[in-house]
Amino acid sequence: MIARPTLGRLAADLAAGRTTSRALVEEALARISDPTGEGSRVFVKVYTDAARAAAEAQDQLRAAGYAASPLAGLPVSIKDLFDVAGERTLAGSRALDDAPPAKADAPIVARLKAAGAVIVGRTNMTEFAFSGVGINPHYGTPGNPFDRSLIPGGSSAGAPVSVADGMAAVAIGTDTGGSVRIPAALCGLVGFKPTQYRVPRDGATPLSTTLDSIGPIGISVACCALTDAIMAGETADAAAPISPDGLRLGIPQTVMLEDLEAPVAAAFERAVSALSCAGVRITELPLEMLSDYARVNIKGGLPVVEAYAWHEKLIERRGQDYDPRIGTRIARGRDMTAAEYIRLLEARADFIRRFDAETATFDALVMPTVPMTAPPSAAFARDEDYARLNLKLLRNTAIINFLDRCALSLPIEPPGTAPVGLMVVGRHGDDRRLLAIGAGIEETLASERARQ
Amino acid sequence: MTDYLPWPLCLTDKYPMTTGNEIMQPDINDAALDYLLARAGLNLTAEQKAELKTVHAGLAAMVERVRKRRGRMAEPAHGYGFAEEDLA
Amino acid sequence: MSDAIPTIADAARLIAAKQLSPVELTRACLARVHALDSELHAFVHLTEERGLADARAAERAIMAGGPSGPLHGIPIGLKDIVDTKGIPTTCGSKFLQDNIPDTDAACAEKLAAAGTVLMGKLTTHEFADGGPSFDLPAPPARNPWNTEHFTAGSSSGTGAAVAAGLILGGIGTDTGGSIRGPAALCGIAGIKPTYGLVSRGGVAPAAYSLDHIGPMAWTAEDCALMLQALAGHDPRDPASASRPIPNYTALLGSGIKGLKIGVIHHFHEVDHKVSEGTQRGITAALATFRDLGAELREVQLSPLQDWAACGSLISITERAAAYEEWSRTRLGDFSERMRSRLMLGAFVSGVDYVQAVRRRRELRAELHAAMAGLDAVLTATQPAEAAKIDAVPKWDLFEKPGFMMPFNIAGYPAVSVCAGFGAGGLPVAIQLAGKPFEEPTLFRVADAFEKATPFRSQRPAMTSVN
Repeated sequence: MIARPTLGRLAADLAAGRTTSRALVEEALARISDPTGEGSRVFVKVYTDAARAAAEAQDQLRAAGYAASPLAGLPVSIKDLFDVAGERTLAGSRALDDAPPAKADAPIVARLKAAGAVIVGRTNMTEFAFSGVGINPHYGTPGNPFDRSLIPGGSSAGAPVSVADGMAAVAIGTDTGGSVRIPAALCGLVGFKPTQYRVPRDGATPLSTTLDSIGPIGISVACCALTDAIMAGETADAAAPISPDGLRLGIPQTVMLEDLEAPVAAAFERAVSALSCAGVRITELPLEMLSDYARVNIKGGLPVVEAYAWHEKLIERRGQDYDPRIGTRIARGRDMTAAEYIRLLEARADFIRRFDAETATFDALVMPTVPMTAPPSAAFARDEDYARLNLKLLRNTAIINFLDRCALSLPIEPPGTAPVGLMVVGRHGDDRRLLAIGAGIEETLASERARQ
Repeated sequence: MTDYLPWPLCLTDKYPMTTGNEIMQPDINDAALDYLLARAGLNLTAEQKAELKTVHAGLAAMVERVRKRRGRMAEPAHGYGFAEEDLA
Repeated sequence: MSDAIPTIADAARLIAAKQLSPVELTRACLARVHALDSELHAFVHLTEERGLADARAAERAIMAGGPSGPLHGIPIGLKDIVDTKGIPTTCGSKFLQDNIPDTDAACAEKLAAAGTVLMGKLTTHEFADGGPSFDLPAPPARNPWNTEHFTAGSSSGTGAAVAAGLILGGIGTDTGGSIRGPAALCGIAGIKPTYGLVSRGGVAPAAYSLDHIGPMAWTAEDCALMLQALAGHDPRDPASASRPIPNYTALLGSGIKGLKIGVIHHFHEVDHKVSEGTQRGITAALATFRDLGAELREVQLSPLQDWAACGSLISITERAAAYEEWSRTRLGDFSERMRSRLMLGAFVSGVDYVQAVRRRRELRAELHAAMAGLDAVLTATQPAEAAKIDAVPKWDLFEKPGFMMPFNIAGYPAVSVCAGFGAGGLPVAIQLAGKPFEEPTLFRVADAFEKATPFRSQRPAMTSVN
């Protein structure tokens, strides 16, 4: 859990004249450039001058009564795979350093700017977004705010650290198998993966066109709700919390609870207990069909083959400049035949249908976001450990991308202990309701903590 | 649920059904009631018969509820599944 | 009369410490019988002399060598469908007014062997069927909390007698709720054990595959003490289970922290919405369980109507078969309620019955799956507080479905305990069910609930009038 001001708090401060956009952005830039901090590992590019100018402009607009949204004037970081007009989009790589510059801002970047957000910089990520670990051999690995020797999670590695360390008020990442939710969980922040179709993915370097989604990492559910609304082109508001009393939550008993590290199991049980005491109706759902996921995705699933389709020519030309752990894994996409790909898509449709049928009567599902707390970066030295730990980090979250649903991760660890995330999963397209349920859960768990 | 066998054809003239689909017609006619009571060996007064007719629909609803599409291998609760050892 | 009525557990402690004599205890119960039973009609046959003789024998034995067990010297009663040697057993029916069995039923034997004091035979609905009849030889029992109200049945006399302290424990039978229903409406504890745990030998049948014999007493702990004496294999009962009998009180007092209780919300909130007073009792009970550290989970089963249809068709048919000969030759000699039930047998074909039994297997499998990982499930026992005795619907099996039949269908143990008082100060209850043969866990949960709530300290007002 990170104690930093929420977007709501900052917006109130700006509106009340207690601070200015220029002051907030200067502070962010100072933290980024502090040599004793993580800035050089969190950001691959900082828009120092542009951010200052934008902050000035936002203060002037506000003074004239033109604050465009609750996000106006606030510093925001974006993952290194979003197009910004006139710049090369490297997506955490070196292999794209001779790519032509982007012609236009990615639509989500444009929407954030139109909402008055001040983009302070591009955050570091796993090269091409292809892991849940967050290690980048080219640009360094941001240290986990809880303990810098631990990984931050990935692939949106810099994003949560930028928020935790006060370098941005909210961060934008992408999530294909968990890349927003995993780093949020491992760093003690809230992360939101929307239903894919809601937020446009043009101008974002793809990993898996079927599974990619774009989502925020922030201090609270309300922060994520507001930012998501702006990126989705919806009315910029945070969903009012839904009372937990009488809410029906299901806990899948297959896969999701296997092999939990002790602090994760303990935090999850305490959270479930607290919700049950608040009147939530908890059901333990067998959901045996979840064990089909591994079998269906045995050749690496959709990301491997779809990434290979995008990378094939680039690998031929610049393969030697890839992070070897990324390059070799993408190359495996060669092994999937067209027939297997088609069958995989069919299997996905069937998987979704069966899951929906078994969970239809529930308001949401809950489970731990990640089965473990952040491991130390040193644990990833050997390739086989990297592979094994990566799969385990992705285990719970990736199933939700496969199910084409929306999901939140909320921090539930006791204060001062290694971060643990609670994942709350909603129905396809029912994002606003999921955010409202998440806000209610967040409130309930906060009161429970306050009581202790 | 209407995927059932229709009322027996041999009885449709004497004891007509409304739609032909229900296992038990909610409204039982007098002749059918007399037949069933005779078969059960029960001697009822006219008043008792009239009362019984009123609850027939409730019973018909229960009979409908316990029926569903089942394969012929679906055993009732009393059925034993003897293992090889039991049959030695 | 103003003496507090002890529980079996309390009395056992006092008797063991020789601070209470079984004779004193029996006299106190008899005094209450004489003062209250003319209003309650709980007894159909009082065995005062036999009771005092049992009490004196118990006193002698205890003075000599201490009590043989916690039931030694405890006054009990038996539902009048339970055979008692040399004592009339009428089954509440005209047919058996002069019936005097020459052997004891298995449960009667076991309680006698445990040293209990037999106070008499208790009012029952005819052949344990489900309705208070005013056209029976003996009048129906009345609710001690308000004598204008029904006790529920069919173990109506047992429910009234325990609540009013005329006996400390009694035997009931349960085919679709006939132990738990009266326990609920009379504010006491009653358990329908696992099917086959307690022998049905010497007890008139209601429906063979749904019948269970079980104890009714003021507390769950008392029921556990009685069940200890009652449980066990008996070759006289072809469905008798042959299993090692555990210690039913072993887990009492060990708390319920971490135990998982599944709440079948839709049963009592959707399928058959319970009265406000009942719902308040259930809601408060859930809070109590949480306070005690239990984890609550929601359980989803087939709608209650499915369970009711399955159970009704089975009980209608089996009952009609059991009483077929009398139905064909002397139908008019049955009470109106029993006769009405028997007539329904004509409408259920053999094929209908088998379909119901197939449904039974499916529903049982459903409950088994739903209870995986749970220690108990919870729902209502009765839909509302006790109705007025002349307002009990005749065709109540066609009214809304009952909450107790699912556990007769599945054969799983189920207990009712008092959960407070509702409209008119009448008791409301909760029902807890456990896994087959895991009565110790069920008693653990029920007992923890009773000890965490104040309801066991309140007896019906009529018991404190001089």
